[in-house]
Amino acid sequence: MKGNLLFYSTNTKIAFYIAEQFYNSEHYVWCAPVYNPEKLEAYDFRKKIPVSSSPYKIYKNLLDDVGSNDKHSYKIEQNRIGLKKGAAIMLEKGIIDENDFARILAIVDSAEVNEFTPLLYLIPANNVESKINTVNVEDSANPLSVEYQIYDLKREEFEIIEFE
Amino acid sequence: MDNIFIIQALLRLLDFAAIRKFNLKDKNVNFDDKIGKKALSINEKLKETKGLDIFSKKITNDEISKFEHLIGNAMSNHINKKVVLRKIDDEIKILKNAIPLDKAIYEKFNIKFSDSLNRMLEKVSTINSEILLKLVIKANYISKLPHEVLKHHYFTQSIVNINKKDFFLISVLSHEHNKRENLHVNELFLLNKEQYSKFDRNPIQLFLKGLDKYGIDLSINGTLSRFYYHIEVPLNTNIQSVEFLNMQNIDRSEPFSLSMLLKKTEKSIELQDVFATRTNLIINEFNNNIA
Repeated sequence: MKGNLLFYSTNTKIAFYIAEQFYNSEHYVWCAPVYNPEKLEAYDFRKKIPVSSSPYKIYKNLLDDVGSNDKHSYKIEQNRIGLKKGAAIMLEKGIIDENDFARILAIVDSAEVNEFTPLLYLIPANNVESKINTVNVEDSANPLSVEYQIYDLKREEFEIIEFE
Repeated sequence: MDNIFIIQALLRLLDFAAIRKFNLKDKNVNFDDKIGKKALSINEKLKETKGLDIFSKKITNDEISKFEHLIGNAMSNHINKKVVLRKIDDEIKILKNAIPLDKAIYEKFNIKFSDSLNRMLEKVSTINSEILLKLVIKANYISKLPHEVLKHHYFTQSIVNINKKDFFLISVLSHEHNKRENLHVNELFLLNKEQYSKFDRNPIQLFLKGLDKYGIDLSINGTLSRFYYHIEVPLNTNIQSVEFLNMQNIDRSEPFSLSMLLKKTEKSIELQDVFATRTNLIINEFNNNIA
C-alpha cells in the first residue's frame, strides 16, 4: 500500500488564532493519515484508527456543539485544556513570557462557544515527513494503533478548509 | 521563577493525565525532581479535597477529565493571581480585534506629533521628528479596530542601522476628533529587533510588549489595568489631573507620558485608549543601547 498523500488534522479557530498570534505561526497538531477511517475498506488496517482520533468525528462533534451553542460541550472543554497545556509548554520552552501566558489563558477562559468552530488542516505528507512524531497507544483492539503529532507545523505547510 | 515552577508542576499532571486517558505508551513523566514532587503534592491535595487521584488505578476517564478541568482552572487562577495583578480584558479585546489596514488609506493624512512625544524626541539623541515622520509614512503594516475607521492605529517600522543595534519603533496613532485629515502620533516604543523580531508583522502584539516593558499600571474607578480600551468616568472628573488615575508602583515625580482619547457625552466622559508609559525609561534605554 502506498503511503498517504495527506495528513488531516481538525483544530479550532481559537487554536489557529493563538498559534498565529503567539507562537510565531507554528502550530502544534495531532493528525491522522485518513480523514474518516470508518469509510475505509474493511481490511485497511487504518480503519482501526480510534474514533477519538478521527478528524471527521472530531470535526463533526465540534461542529454539532458549536451549532447548538453547547456551553457544556465535553469536546470544547477538552480543547480549552489542550490550549492551556500548549501554552504551558510554550512558557516552559521560553517561547512566550508570563504575560503572554496569562493573556492566552484569559483568551481561552473567556472564549465563546463559536470560537471553537472547527477547521480542517490538509497537510501534504511530503512537506512534513521529517516532522511527524508517532505516539504508540496501548489499545487491545488494535495493537498497531498509533497517533501522529507535529510540534511545529508552519503556516505555509498546510491548507485550511471549512464546511458545514 | 516561582510562577513558572507551579505551572510546570501542573503541566506534569496534565501530561500524566493524557497518558492515562489515551493509554499512551513510551511516555513518561518525571515525578522525582523538585517540580515532580510539587506535582505530587498538588495531586495529594486534589485527592483530599476532591477525591480525585490521578495515580489511582481505578480512576475513570470521566474523573480524569474532571481532574484536567481542575488543573486547567488552577493554571488560570495561579497565573492571574501571581503574574497579572491587573485587568487584562481590554488588552485581549484589542488583540483579538486587530485587523490589517491598507497603508494607502492613511498616506494622505497630515501627521502630527503630540507635545509629549516631541518633548521625548528632543531627549533621544539619534531620532528626531523628521526621521520619525519618514518612518511613519513608510510604515509597512498598520492595524486598527474594526468599524471605527482611523480611530486606533498601531503600527511598526524597523529602524535599520541607527547605530550598533536595530530597533523596532512602535508608534501609536490616533486621529484628531472630527478631523479625518489629521493623524496624531501619540506614543513611541523602542524595542530591540533581535528580541522582538517574531512580532514584526504584528503591531498589536508589539504594542502590548511595549506596555509590558514601559507601561504603568493605572487604577481608574477602582480597576487596575495597564490599558483601557473604553471606560466611562463622571462628567465632573478632572481629566487633566493624574489624581484620578492612581498610578501604581511609580514615583509621582518620575516623568511619564499619558495617552488617552476622550469624548464627552451628556452624562459622562468616555475615555478610550488610556495608557501611560515611563518616558525616562524609554529615553535612557534607547540612548544607552545605541551609545
